[in-house]
Amino acid sequence: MDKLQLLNDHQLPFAKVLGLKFVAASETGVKAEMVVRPDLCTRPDILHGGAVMAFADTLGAAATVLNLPEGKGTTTIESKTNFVGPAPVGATVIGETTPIHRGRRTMVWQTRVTTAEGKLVAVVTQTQMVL
Amino acid sequence: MTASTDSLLPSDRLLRRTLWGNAVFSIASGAVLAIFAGPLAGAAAHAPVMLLGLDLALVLELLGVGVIGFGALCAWVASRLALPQAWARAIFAADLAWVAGSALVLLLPAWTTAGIAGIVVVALIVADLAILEYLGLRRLGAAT
Repeated sequence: MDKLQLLNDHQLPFAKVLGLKFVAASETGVKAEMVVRPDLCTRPDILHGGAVMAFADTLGAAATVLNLPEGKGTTTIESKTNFVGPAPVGATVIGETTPIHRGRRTMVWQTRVTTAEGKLVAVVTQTQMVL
Repeated sequence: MTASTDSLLPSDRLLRRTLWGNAVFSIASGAVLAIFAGPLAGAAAHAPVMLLGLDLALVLELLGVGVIGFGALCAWVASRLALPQAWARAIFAADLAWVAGSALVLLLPAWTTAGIAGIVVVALIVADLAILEYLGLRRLGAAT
């Protein structure tokens, strides 16, 4: 079974709530998409910042897990988000996560969140501790 | 977010443990081969043997050093956080090559019973390791 299928077949509960779907996965990065539903929005009807962060956080953790040996785990210990632009309700956002550092104790990942049209929504940098 | 590999990724435990076993066996047997190359060459053949223009003792000594290096490679691969499957496949291929090479070497008429036994026993151990490596790679979906 390939890594993409693994991630989609073993969705985390909160990822299901978000409606997140992985579209690419390897040790060097993951890519996922999510539809901006009304219940994920703030006022006005654009994607809530917390949903953006949760989306990116899920991708960073998934990318870390793909680099871990069996029995290991990970937790986010730091996360920083630059909110650049809005993602309106009904749009599809795409997250692309790439590694900045993949160490034995910590990994640092950067996720670019864009709309399907390529407009930048946010850039998230997070540190994952290996457990 | 907190997440773990449990029930998510296929297990690499078999491959990792086999590679560690290969590392220990290779480094130990390589050291014995390199240190006792002279006596082993004397016990393994009826008469002085030349392979590729080299004295058998020197061949065994060089082989021992090479096997130690191979064992170090196995340990390196087994210790990586994300097990490099391409290197694991290369180690599996090298083990297969060792078994095939042993069969060819046995065709030489020079060996004593002790020599034949030594070559066969080592080849069987390496074959076992290769089988376990194949099963470990297959579990990861990387056997081909």
